[in-house]
Amino acid sequence: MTTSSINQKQPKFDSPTGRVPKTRVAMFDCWKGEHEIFLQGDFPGAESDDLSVVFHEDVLTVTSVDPQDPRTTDSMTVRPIKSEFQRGRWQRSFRVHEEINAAQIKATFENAVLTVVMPIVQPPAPRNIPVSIF
Amino acid sequence: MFNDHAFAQINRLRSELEKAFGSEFQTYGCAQEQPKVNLWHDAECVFLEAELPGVNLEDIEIVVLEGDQLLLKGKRNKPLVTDGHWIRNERNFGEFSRTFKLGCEVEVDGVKATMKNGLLHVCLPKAAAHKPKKIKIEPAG
Repeated sequence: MTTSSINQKQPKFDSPTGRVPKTRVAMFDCWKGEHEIFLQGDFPGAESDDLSVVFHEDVLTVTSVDPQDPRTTDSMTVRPIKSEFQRGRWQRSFRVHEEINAAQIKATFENAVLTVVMPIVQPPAPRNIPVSIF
Repeated sequence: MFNDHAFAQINRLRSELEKAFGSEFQTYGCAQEQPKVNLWHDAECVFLEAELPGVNLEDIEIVVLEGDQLLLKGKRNKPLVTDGHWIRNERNFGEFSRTFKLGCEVEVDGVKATMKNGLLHVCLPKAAAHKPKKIKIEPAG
């Protein structure tokens, strides 16, 4: 297997504001080419400057800062009708089971979609060893 | 946990179904796979916020129905994978369509929608009859 997701535990501490910070799990697609592994994930509401992409010891981790929820700006007058998602800090980690050229990993962010391209270190080509005859 | 081979088989089956049934098969499908939304209101407006990462502006359609419902429809294109094979597929692609009851009539001409960082934000001003009306207190005669 090329990549496997690593489960993240929800933090169980209160923030200084008293609100329990919510961590959301970003949804990802992954496909593997001959020379590269592609990861593409959704981060709706995040700015590119909010995102952090770190590759360390075969684990790729993507996190974002906690955004402001517009519904909390005036909670006295706001009345929810339907709530299907909460703003929160995005986080996701993947263990990569291929040898990756970490220096050449590239990440782009467009329309709330993060694309990470990880070049696979190619094994050395087979080499014929001439047998000398004494 | 699936391995590469299992995913390859699932994706091959999906490709066959898409070939057989066309783009209609490639939809969000069941309700929980539709784009997530928040809907709320204050004294003046009803607000809708929808998570639409990777959806192009020209592929989104917003329609006010019968004055008190909102139709949100569109499509999200699948990434073009020319080199390689799928290993993980957690995101949804294809067409989506949802209708929401707003709970009151809105002024259709005043509806505004913006899209930023994959979040669609729609502001629907309430019709005058649904806005709070301040009552002037007159001195007793």
